[in-house]
Amino acid sequence: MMAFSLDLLAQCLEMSLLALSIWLLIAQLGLVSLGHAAFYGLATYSLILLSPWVPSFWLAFALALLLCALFALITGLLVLRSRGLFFLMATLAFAQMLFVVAQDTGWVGSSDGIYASTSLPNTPWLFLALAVIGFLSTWRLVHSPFGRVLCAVHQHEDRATSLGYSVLRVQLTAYVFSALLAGLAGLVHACRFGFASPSLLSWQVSGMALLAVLLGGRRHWWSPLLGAFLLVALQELLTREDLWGSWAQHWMGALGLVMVGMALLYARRSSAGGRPPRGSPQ
Amino acid sequence: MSLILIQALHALQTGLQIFLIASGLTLVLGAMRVINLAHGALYALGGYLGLSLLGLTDSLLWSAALICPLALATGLLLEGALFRPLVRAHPLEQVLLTFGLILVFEEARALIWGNDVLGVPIPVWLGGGIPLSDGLMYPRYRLAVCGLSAGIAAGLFFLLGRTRFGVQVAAMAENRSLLSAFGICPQRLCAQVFALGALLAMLAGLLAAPMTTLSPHQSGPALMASLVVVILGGLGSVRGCLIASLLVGLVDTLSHLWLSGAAGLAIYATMALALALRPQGLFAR
Repeated sequence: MMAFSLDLLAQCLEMSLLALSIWLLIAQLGLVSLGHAAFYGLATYSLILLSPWVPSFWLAFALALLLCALFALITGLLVLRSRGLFFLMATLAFAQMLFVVAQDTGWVGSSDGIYASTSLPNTPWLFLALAVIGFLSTWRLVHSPFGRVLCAVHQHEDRATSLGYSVLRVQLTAYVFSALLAGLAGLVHACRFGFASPSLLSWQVSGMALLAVLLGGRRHWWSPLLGAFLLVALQELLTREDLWGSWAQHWMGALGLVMVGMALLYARRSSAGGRPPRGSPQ
Repeated sequence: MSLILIQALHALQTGLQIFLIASGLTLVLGAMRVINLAHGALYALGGYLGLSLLGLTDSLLWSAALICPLALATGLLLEGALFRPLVRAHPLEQVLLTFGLILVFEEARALIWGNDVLGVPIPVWLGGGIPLSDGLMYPRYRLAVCGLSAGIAAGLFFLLGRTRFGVQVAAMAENRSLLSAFGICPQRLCAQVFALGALLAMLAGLLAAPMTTLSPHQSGPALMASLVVVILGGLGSVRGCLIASLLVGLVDTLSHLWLSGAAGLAIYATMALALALRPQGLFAR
């Protein structure tokens, strides 16, 4: 029982890091990404593939994060040229590109996935520490002078440009930072399961993280934490066989209905002129 | 020589197939500014419904005729119940609603049709192939679908370019509130556009089913190909959508011919290149 609740806690922390990475882009820049599964899965794959070759676990850890940042830098330069729904489509397509690569490449296990050949530290304290680092650094970023610049870019790109800020550079920095947070979530996943499969790169992962952001709200830096706990609780509730019997195996459909309902609720509220989230353009 | 002809025909057929799916996505995006991620699921639904209709009527033509009113009804129902409130919503809400819809569709499909790969028979009178040269054949059904898709595409261009409806759709993409000032109801037009998109996707699903078989995960690739086409083609441009679809069909065919291992990568590389060169879409006005 203890082990089960610790694992549940680890799952919450992992999801909260992924939700945090997406929250940062949505709440601070108004960019909705559907491609963060790319960084999440890339980190998991990198740690599992690198750890047998690199002498120390922490070196593999750092290299995995570095790879995430590098991928974010390259794709960020491309996807940040588009806005709104096109940004969303482009991020999704790049994540799908990694998914296809992972599925078709033999030496990363193709569609069967790959197990870690060395043991990775599966300790809740490590996960807690990583989550604390992630949230604290995000809090620091949002409340720093750079956080104000992010706000300025979000509210009015042209005005921020005329103040001398390079919009692309600011957005790219936030994008890479967000990719690192998603990478941390992926590293937590690698340590928990010691296994990577293409499903980590699928857009279902990005969609779940978006749901966590919507459940928790966009207003505060700790909202993704709340959203992740709510999402994991909802998942546990919907998969309980003692409540739903054989229908529990169709829990994804029930989750879909919840998503549709929530989105309709939010959409109706925002079209009825509800309070806009802080920092959104008036 | 005939090998090139076969590959060219194949590229054309793939391209037109993608156009049927992507044009609905781009129309809805242009008219309503809503991204329908469940568009691929509509395509898959068309295939599965086609299978059931084929069981009932025993004729592909009758199934194709019957699926049209069904698809229009599905489109109108979805638009009225779910997509209308999304028109001015945040992209986050649009993604969650359409993503949730995919999950619901997938579970409903698993409940009704199961998770097995299902084959759909090619009608007898379209079976076999047409010999192009000695030893090389092109399947007759593919050729028929190619011709039919080209006909549908031509009809779509006529509808959007030469009729009152097409002018209204173009006007809505340009300025929605001005359209209502002229006494045209944007909501009603949105419903019609959405139903048209659903019809195209479901018809494409039905026509593709005998060539590809029906499997649980076919909606994803259909959606991804259409997204790449929409990014290449630009916002709401159906002409750009056609050119981009043919390009994606060509790239896809050639990459399967030359790069067996990395074939899936080619269309995304094309998209990355297009984003680097012209982020607003290669054929946007």
